[in-house]
Order: sequence, then C-alpha cells, then structure tokens
Amino acid sequence: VTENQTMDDILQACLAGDQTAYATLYEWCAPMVLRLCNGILMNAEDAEDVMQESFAYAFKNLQRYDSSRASFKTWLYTIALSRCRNLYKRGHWRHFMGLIGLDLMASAQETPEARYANLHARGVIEAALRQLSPRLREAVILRYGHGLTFREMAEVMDCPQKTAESRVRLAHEQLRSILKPASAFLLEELIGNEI
Amino acid sequence: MTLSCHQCQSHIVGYIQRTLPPDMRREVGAHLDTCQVCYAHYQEHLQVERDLQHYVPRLGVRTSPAFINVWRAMHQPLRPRQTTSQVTMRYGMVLVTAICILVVPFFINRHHLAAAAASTQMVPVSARITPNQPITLTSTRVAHVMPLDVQQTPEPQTVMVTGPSLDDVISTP
Repeated sequence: VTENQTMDDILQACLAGDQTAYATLYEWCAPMVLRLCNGILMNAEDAEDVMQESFAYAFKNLQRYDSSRASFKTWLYTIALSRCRNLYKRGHWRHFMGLIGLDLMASAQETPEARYANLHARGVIEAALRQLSPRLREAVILRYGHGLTFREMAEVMDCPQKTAESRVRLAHEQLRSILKPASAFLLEELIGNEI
Repeated sequence: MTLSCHQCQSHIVGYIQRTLPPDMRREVGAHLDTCQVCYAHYQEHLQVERDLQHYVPRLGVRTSPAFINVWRAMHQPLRPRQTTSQVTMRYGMVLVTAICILVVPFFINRHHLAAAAASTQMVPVSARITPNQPITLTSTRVAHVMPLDVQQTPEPQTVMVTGPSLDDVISTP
C-alpha cells in the first residue's frame, strides 16, 4: 500500500482482506474519529472505547459501505456518533462531567503569557461546551471541530438539514449567553491590569 | 421590507455563517449598519464564532490507540447488547409490580370482608345509643339488631326493652 493510493483503492484492498490496508485506513481515520468521540463524550477513556468499537464495527461491515451515498468519513462519523449516543443514553455520560479536562493540544510556539491566556480561554470554552445539551454539542463539534457542511451534518446526525442549521444557531445563542459574563470579566481584568 | 431587531438577531448566526439567502443577507446587513443594539449582538456572536473556530478543532486531540487493539476487537464477536437483558429485567419488574397491584388489594379486601362479616353478626344490644352520650345498659335481655346497609346512614336508634332493669336483676338473689 503506497501513500498515493486513494481511499477507494484502500477500501478495495481491505475488502480483499489485506491487513496492511486496514492499518492504513485506521491510521488515516482514527485521529479524527477519536477527536469526534472525545469532543462529544468529553472523556478520554470512553472516547477510546467508542472509537475502537466503531472501527471494529466498520471493518466488519465494510462491504455494506456504499460510496455513492456518502463519503467514508461521513459513514464512519455516523457509526461513531450512534455509539456515543448509546453511551450517553445509558446515562454514563453524566458522571464524566467535571472529572477530567479535555487535554487541548498546546502550540509549541506559544509564549508563556499567551499560553496562560489560552489555557484560561480554553477552560472557559470547555466549560461552556459542557453546559450544552448533547445534541447541540454534537452540532458544534461536527461543524467547528470537523468542518462538516450542514448537509454532511444532517447525514451524520440523522436529521433534516434545517434541523442541523437550527441546532448550530441554538448552540451559538446559548454559548453567547454563557460566555458573555466571562468575556466581560476578562475584559475588566485586562483593563484593571493595564491601569 | 425592513427587519425588526428581533428578526435581525434571529438571523445573525446565519449571516455570520453565510447560510442566508442573498435578499435576507442584504436586509440583515442594512439593519446592522443602522442599529447599535443589533450590531453589539452581532459582535458578541462574531466573538463566539472566532472562539469556536479557534478552540474546538483542538478539542480532544489525543494519540489513537494501537491498530492491533482494533484488529483484535474486529476478530472477536461483538459484545452482546446489554439492553436486551435490561429490557427483560424491566419487563420482569413490570410483571411483578402488576401482580402486586392485582393481588394486594384482593387480600386487603378479604380482610375488610372478614371484618365486615364479623360486624354483621347478630350482636346483643340492649342499649340506647345516641351519638354524644355514654351507653347505659337498661336490661340484660338480649335484643337482636339486624345489620344495616352499608350505604345507609345509621340513625340513632332507641331499643325499647321491657322487663326488669339491670339493678333489679343484680339485686335479685
């Protein structure tokens, strides 16, 4: 399997039973699926479990994938999202809240001040995202975290496109009201320090 | 057509994300140019948009587990769904509850029936019964009072007894 191979070639090789092709497919897709699960579930261990389950299911049912209906990424996201929903439907997601941070990746080029400011801002955003309902958080993660179009979001979330749009709008409204006091406080703090 | 502030604010997210039709987009833009309140609203949404675009893609970035784990999981039978046993258990609980609901009142009723049956037996009453007065025996002669209908409100009854009084009987050797 070479790097120039397209997704279709790799899928064909997988269907032919080539283990290396499976490994390549996993290397390509695993980081984004893990990020999706981690963003939605907000718990690293459960995200890993759901991701592994999703890949095991996808690899076992690879012959069911129809490239004319959706991209492989969308298909994988649909599987992963369905498993995430199963998990928080069972009520397990409630105990995640407030236990572990999300381990946001820090840039190596950040200055200590910028890093501190970023950490604070990340904490604020993360806390705000935790306050959203699972459906709205899914919409935010798919839209901003993975850059899906509303049409793709509708496919993954199994809802009409207008619903996907309105979920993003509702999430935006809620985040604005949640983040408003925080940003005002930060601004006051900044002005106070300058004086 | 001019937009109200409420209409404009409901379209701000669409305006930022460029999902509005051109006409509506033009109207929202024109309203934002003239209304300070909606413009402030727009600025707040713009800040949220920037924050989300900046931070959410970095949310939950971690190293993926090794492929071999997935490969092993793929070759194992999938875990049986827990929901099946949970559903069975729930049906069982519903069944037990239904049986309790049906059977317990029956026993309670039996108890009441037994009590009612005991109370409807013929009782020796030779007393004048009024609601607010203590019962005073006037005779040892036994009078049989038939049970009252449950639906009927009992009236204070006076049982007229003829014969020697209790004091007479006691004093008689």
